[in-house]
Amino acid sequence: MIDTTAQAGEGQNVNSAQPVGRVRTDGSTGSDLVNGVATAAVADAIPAPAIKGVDFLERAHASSLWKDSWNRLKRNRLAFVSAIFIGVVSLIAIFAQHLAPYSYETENVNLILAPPSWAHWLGTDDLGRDVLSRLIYGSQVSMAVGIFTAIVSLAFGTVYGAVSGWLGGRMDALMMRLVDILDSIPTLVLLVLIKVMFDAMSTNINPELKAVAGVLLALSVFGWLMLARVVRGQVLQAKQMLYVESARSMGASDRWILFRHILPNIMGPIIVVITALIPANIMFESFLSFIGLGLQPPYSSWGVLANEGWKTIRTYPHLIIAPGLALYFTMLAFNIFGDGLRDAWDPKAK
Amino acid sequence: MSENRQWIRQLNVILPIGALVAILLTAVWSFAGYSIPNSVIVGDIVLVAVFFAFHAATHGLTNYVLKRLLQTLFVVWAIATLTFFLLRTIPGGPFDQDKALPPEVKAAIEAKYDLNSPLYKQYIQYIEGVATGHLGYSYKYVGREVTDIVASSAPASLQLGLFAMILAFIVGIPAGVYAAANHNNWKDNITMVAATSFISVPSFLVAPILITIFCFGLNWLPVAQWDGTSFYIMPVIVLGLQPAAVIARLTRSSVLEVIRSDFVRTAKAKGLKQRTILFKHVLKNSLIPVLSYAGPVTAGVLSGSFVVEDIFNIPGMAKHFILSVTNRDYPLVLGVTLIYATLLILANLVVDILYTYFDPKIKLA
Repeated sequence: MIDTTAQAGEGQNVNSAQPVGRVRTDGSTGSDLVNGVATAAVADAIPAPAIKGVDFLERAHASSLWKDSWNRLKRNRLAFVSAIFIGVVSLIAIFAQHLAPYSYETENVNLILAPPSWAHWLGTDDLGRDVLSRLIYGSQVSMAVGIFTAIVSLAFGTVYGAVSGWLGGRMDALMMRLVDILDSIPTLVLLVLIKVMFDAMSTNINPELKAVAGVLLALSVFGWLMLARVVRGQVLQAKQMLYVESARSMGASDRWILFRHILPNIMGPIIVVITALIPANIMFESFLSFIGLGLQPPYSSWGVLANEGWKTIRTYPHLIIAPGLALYFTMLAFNIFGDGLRDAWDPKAK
Repeated sequence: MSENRQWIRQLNVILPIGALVAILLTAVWSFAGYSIPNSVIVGDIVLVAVFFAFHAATHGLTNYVLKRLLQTLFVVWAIATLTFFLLRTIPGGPFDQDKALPPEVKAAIEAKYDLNSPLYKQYIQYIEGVATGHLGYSYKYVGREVTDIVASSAPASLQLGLFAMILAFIVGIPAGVYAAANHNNWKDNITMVAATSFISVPSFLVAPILITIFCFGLNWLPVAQWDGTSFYIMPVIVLGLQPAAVIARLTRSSVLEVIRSDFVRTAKAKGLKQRTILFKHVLKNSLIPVLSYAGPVTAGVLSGSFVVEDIFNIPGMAKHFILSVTNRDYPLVLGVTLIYATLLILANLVVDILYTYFDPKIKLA
């Protein structure tokens, strides 16, 4: 397993400039000769350009693509801090019940729009609810949206794109046309339509679940589109590669080749797309809730809080700034981490 | 023959520049707070169409463009069908209210809007309407046609979108070039940190900050509405910020890639001036990937306009869309969805054609 990845890693690194086949043809005459005398020390002594294209030399002292990427990622301090921040926000979301000093819906009529104090660190809103608690509970929605839609998109988009690219021809054209059509409806419009439909049709679901489920469903329905495109493109490219041909010549079935050979090799781009998708979806949920078409009060999400804070912006601007900042830092962390991941995977792109 | 070629080549430069200048002038004129006569808008569109037709004809793209236009029709039909059935299968009609209407009244209303005939008949009628430019009557605004409502709200949305996109490009591209020219020093770092920051910032954080400073604090700009230059400034900044940041990052990486290419090394070896290399050789080539982002920018601006129109209470299409969804005003929802989708598809078509203009190596089929 590791071996395939390593090999494909090299294939990927060269594939934009030169197809894998080139490596073989280039090195075919000279390589055997070099093979006889070359040691790792020699390889180190030869300046990099000279040995480019002689792939076994590089492999002699190269670690796997995944390991390399991980090492590069570790060295990127900003990305590392972002990852820690994301971890902290996730923990806050998981333990919201224990961390939040109050419930997200308990109203206190004696304490309406109280300024920040020791009892209420961020004050209370226009119904006397503790803003910090609502903020903490709001992180649950954002994280749930991010993770859930990522998983659904990953599962569906990858399979869809892989099948489309693998089959090719007419089926591919048909499947991609569907993606085109869905893609040409502006995202937010599509989201709203699906959410509205879901809410109207599911009347006998527990309200707490229903509040989030519509948004989750809507975001999952469109989230896989970009992934399907990327995976399809990668599969189309990978189909031409020699390792696929050799697997086929050894009698591997289509499904085996697709899922055991190609997919592990194109995992890099997939992960990069997913890390871009998560913040985009979190942002969309907030947008939806902010314009009043997503989560509805009394449930709390950062978009809902911003929407409520908007009413009192003139006198109590902190009510809208606080959820805005929470969302901003989370977005920032995801984006920086995503950039770091991309750079780690494809150092040329930097 | 060669004289003929020359003539074509010249027109191929003059036409797009003419169209671009015309659009920019119109935008500036509109931004200054004047209302634009319809004839000018039609003139702009004709200029662009003439350029595209000329480019397509002289580059053997006519078939491709016609094919794409046909596809556009097909996609619009598909979207119309999809949304029609999506909305009609929702249980609960637009006239279900907390207080039940008397049955006779309800029957009369449903008869008026033809909600009782079989679904396929409604569908055929709807598609016929779409084909002839009638999108039916709004449920909520009694007696008003959807086309009419869209026509009256479209200008504000189009203005907002156009201004934001122009802002995104005229800020984003120079910022990206600046960062690339100072690759890996603090100027580059600061620009990129700012860009990442602006990509991550939600518009409902930027807007309150700007409003608090410029409206409540300094009292320079109005808080909401859409009536003239001072009203345009804040919404356009809020909407254009994120695409500008994305464009800056794209430009930077694209410029960096081009700088490393062989023809730039040749230019340096010839001893050309830094400035000449940057503007004549690097920029021209590195703007192609940036241009291809114009399609996604349109989509992003469309989505972003929902929040911005909501925040600044701008009477545009997004505002109507939000209201029509909460009101279950199906004809209006359908109408606005169709308009948005068509805009997006056309924007993508325009980008694809422009692509072949800037990069003749690209062959569309």
